[in-house]
Amino acid sequence: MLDPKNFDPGAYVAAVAPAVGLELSAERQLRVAEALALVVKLGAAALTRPVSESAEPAAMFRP
Amino acid sequence: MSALENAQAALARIAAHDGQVNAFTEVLAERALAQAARVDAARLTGPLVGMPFAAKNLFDLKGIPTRAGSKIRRNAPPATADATLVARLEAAGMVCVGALNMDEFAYGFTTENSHDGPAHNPHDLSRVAGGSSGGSAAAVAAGMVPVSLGTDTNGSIRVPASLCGVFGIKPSYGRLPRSGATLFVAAFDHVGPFARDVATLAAGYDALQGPDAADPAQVPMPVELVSPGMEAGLGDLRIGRLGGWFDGPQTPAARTAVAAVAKALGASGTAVWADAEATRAAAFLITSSEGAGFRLPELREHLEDFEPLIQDRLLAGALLPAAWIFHAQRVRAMGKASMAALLADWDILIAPATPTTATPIGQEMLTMQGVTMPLRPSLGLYTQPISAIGLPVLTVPLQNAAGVLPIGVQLIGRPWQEAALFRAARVLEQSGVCAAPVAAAFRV
Repeated sequence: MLDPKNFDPGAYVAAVAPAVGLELSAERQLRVAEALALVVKLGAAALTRPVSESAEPAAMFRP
Repeated sequence: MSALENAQAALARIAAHDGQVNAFTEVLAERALAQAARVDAARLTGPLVGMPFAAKNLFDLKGIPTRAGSKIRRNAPPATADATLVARLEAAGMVCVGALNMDEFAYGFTTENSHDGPAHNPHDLSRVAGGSSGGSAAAVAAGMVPVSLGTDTNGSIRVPASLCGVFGIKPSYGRLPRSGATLFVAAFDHVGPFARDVATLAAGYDALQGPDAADPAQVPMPVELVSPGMEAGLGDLRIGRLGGWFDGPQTPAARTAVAAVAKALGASGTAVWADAEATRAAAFLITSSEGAGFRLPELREHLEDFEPLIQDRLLAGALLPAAWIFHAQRVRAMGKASMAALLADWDILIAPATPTTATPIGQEMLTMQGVTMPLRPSLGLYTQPISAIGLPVLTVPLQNAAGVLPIGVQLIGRPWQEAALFRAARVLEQSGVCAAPVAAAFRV
């Protein structure tokens, strides 16, 4: 799912921000890239976790 | 005392103390006195009649803007009706006296709100109250109100309950309606009350139950009152400790509190949930994405008006690939399944609520057992995996865990088994292990 060695947060932020209508200054892009790197770090345990094909993706569910 | 006398006394306490605590963002004296007069005239009966309460400022209160901790929404049109939970407490004879401080859009664990100022911990005013429902916990801990309403997406009831030393219940996901509350992460958002004793918490929780078609995420469960069976004792409840991830970095105060609760409840073993870390990571990703998605129009137009602490986090969250979130939802489902298998053997699992007692306002990093990590996200280390799979949790407070500071412990239940948690909490309260007196500086 995630290849940390080939993921460049800075390049990703610059490329994707316009796609969701965000105009970010170069300085802001750097800070957002840092925040994204933290998200990747804290999310890595999920992104690297294999899932079975039957695992339910519903956003809301009955606990 | 009459409802009117109670309301007047609460308003006087708020006037006397909130300058120090900063729990309230709006005091609704006129509304409170009018409601109190109606309650007295109606001659209602019940455990909550005439009792004041206040609500986190993301709950709609008729006549004022629902600011949700933000600058952007403080000039929004006034709410035209009360949130469902507010209306239910008033229907039970309670009196709403105001709206409470919180992290902007519920995105935080410390209530260091730049627009309204930080909520201060009543046990040590130089420290955080926790968040995002920090005003809710602080108002109760300082004795300004006996009950408050908060929300919990990743720990926002349990973290401030722990740091302020009060009781708080985050029910099963879908138990209580969120109608009229500003959502943060719809997939995880829960609502619930705080109180200083178990009986009041139970009465408040009971009054909040019931179907509400206005919340599409509410699960059609019957009303299951917890007050009638609260004194049943532990009986044959199977109680254990959560180990593994939940034995991770934490202060001696947190570890000692868990041990004390485990001993008092006769915990008979330790359970390890192998998917805890992955589920917490999934919750982090989903929160980042959904939380930002809700705010995207405002991020485009009013970025600089957002809380500085969360601007870059929200922007990063708005950019996460859909494939990551799809994957995270499936990791969450696997975590739910593996926890369900674990809970076949346990009725209640005990875990830390926070890894530490309240930290100084403004502190950025936290070092525990030689590990240094960003403080704010770390306060949810042990709450976030549990809310991600929707289990009910009652946070119980232990006083003087580190000097004057309290700390909380999570009692985690099986889905829809809130009643078992209240029974255990009541045992802890009766044994004297857990209590939530008004913070020393605010006792009359």
